[in-house]
Amino acid sequence: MDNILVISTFIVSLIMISAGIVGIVYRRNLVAILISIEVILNAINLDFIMFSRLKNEMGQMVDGQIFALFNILIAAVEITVGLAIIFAIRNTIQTSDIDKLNKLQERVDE
Amino acid sequence: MWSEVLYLVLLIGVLILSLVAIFNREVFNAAVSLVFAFILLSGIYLLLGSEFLAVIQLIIYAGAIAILILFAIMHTPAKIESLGQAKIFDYKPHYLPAFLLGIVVFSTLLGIGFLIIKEIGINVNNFKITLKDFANALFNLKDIGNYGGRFVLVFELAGILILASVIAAITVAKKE
Repeated sequence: MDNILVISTFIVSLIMISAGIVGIVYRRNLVAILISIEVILNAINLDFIMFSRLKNEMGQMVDGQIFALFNILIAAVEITVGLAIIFAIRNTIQTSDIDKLNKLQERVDE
Repeated sequence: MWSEVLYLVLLIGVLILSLVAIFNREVFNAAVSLVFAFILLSGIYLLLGSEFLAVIQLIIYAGAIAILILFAIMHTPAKIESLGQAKIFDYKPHYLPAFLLGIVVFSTLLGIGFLIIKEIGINVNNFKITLKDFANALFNLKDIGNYGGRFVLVFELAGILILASVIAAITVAKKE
């Protein structure tokens, strides 16, 4: 039963990571891209905690969980700065669509 | 027995809610399903034997980050992406590279992960990680084992990182 649980947790977290990467490229909304990044970070946390259960020493297991703790912290920092950037874009261009953010692009069609 | 069944149910729920959060066209529904995925993930952490991370997950993710995302959605201009009148699926040129990238990442990580699992073997331990163990590893208490206080520098640097991110967020988002 342990094998099934470990393998299924690993597969689920892999599906979440790759779906999040697909979502970063696929979605056109800035907030949706941040949601995809959050899903990736959660899947990595799940992997850290699950693999820390496979260690046979107490200190190594604490190591994995502390990595997950710092990963949560990184996610909080990232969402703060990302939403600040989204608010700055809202204040200047009034959009949340990344296809409209092409001010630096070379204009060839006019 | 029943805890394993509950674990699998929570896992499938997390998977479905995450996929809905990524691929739903309405951003508000995506954010709400993301919040429920966070709550189910804290249940999974509880079943994996780390109560401290379950509580931290509930406080930071399901509390703070969810509120931030919903706040941002309500303050940005709403536009449903690519609402086709006739076709449900209209092809855009970035769809194929996205799914190819996902397949490549999935297969690569699958191979690496199964090599690692084969290397270390699957024997799940039964340790209980309490708050005291976290404090031992982070802050080097008096009654340390042989794994005390290795993350003090990382903890301090994390505090500096949070301060820098708060200052950056205020500076970027304020109106002139």
